[in-house]
Amino acid sequence: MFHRLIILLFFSSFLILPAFADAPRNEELNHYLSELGAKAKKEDPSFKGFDPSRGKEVYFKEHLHSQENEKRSCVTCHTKDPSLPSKHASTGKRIKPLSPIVNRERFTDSKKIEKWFKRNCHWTHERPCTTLEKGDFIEYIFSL
Amino acid sequence: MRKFILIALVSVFFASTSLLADSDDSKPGKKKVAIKPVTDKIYLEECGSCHFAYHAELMPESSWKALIEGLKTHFGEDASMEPAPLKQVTEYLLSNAADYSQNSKARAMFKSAKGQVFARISEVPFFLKEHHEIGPDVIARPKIKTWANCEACHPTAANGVYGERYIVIPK
Repeated sequence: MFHRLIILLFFSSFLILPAFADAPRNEELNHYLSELGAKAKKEDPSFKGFDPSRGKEVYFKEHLHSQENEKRSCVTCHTKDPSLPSKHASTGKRIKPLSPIVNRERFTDSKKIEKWFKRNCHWTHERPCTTLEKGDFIEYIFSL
Repeated sequence: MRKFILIALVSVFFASTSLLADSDDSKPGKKKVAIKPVTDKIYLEECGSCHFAYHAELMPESSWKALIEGLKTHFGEDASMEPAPLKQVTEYLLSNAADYSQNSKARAMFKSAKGQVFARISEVPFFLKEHHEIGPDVIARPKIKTWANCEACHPTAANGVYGERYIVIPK
């Protein structure tokens, strides 16, 4: 019986551990960010690197939608705290946390990152996000 | 003698299994076919990230076709896809549409559509008939919000189970 408890405790510790560790960046993300950085430098030679504090502004920036007459931001679907699960604004579908600290699948696949920037920037801001906004946004999410 | 017993046993076995299969259906002699749970990973990912991954069987092929063609303006969102996932999603939806289902509810959805193209499953006449007791005040409840949210009242929806006895309407 005691044996079993030890084993249970041992395995359950794996469930808690990730919450205390920094979210790792995989090679694919590093590559994606370095390409994004090179593009940003090309667009603006004074570019010095992506910045989480600018990314925070991107995350909270509101846009008044031209058709729906409602204010939208990243917060609308991802809440003020990206480490919490949330709900899709129109369908109510559960959205897993955006933060890689609690959801290790996030920001591991460059195709997915681009797909969601394309969809969500359009929905929120009615335009594509800029190179700078994308990089800053990711740095903000990883700074949390 | 042994042969006789064997034949008798086998026939009793088959008779009992067909009885069991029919016991839950309104039309005796007709086998009940369930709605197939969605297993297509690309469909679950591409469509199911934003809303319940509706069973293709719940709408006719012509409606799914129209929906796929209009993904650029999909209920206020740009849900357009890359060519590879789009091909896969199209294949799943069209080849599993209500037109080809043996499930009684899916058949009823197909028949009630009468060839008309619908933008939403919740606009198909059989759907409206099945949900006629549910008023807008019920849908407006925070835990339901929209007709799109099948799982709010059908907790077993993902398994393709929409039967009356599995319905739980949130307060």
